[in-house]
Amino acid sequence: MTRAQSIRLRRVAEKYAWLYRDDPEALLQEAFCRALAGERHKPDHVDIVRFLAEAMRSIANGEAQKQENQATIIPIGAPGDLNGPVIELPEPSDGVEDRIMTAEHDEGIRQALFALFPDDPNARDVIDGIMAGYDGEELRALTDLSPTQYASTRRRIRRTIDRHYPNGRKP
Amino acid sequence: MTGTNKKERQPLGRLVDALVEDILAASDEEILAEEAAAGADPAKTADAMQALFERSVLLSNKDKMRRAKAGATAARQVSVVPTVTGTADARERLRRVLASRPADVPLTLAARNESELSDEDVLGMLQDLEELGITLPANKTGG
Repeated sequence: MTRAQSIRLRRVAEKYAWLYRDDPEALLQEAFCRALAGERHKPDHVDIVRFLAEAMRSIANGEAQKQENQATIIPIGAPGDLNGPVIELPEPSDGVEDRIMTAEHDEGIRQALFALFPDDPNARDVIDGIMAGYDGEELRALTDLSPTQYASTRRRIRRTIDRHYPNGRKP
Repeated sequence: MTGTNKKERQPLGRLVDALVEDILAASDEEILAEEAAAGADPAKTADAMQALFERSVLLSNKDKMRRAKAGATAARQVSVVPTVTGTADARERLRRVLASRPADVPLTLAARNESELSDEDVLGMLQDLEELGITLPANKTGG
């Protein structure tokens, strides 16, 4: 593995760990182990770094999914009957309160990222577009940037986030 | 509110996927220059990655060995269960095995008095013989 490949791998691990608040090294080691165990087949034409990056994404995503599937159980007893039988129901995860908190949190993250680019409307537009689900040529066209401007804006976003979150987000 | 909430990950996840895509698409020169600009030593990063990979190989090999051991133990456990259909069959098989021993191999007192052995002892002896690698005939005619 070349130096550049090593750096890429470490940085990809940091990104997924940043998203899932995981440990980058543990994530990378798990990806190595799964590849060595042959759990994931690497087609010949796929770059090894891209292959391991996809493995890390999948591992981190799976871990997060597992946590989500651990439903909270809320006990429900008959009104006024403190000693009677209690029925346990899974707490609905998408209640109104949950949705409001999620929306507030999303907006908080968006604002925190925007604050990194106070004088860079192009970067803010691109971040907004990506977070809204746009990418590639469609996003470039939406932001009215030339291919060169678009590429340099994305580079700037990546470098700025790297600089401000060298150790990932804190819970 | 936890950081692993699916809805939180959706917009942020898209951003992270885009950042990862950019890391993968960047040229080697660019990546090395960024690393140096961040004050990191690319050689040290590469060494650390190599060390992590070697630790992973070790872990993976240990895991393979553990699985192989578990598989071998399971196979042994299956093979040492005497294939008997009843205690009469077990006694018959034990008698045949003992009878087929080489002439210079003496029998223990317990083995000589097979009829006085409990069913459990008979099965235990059959199991011991199989563990010693003595092949038992499958049935009376099978040899």
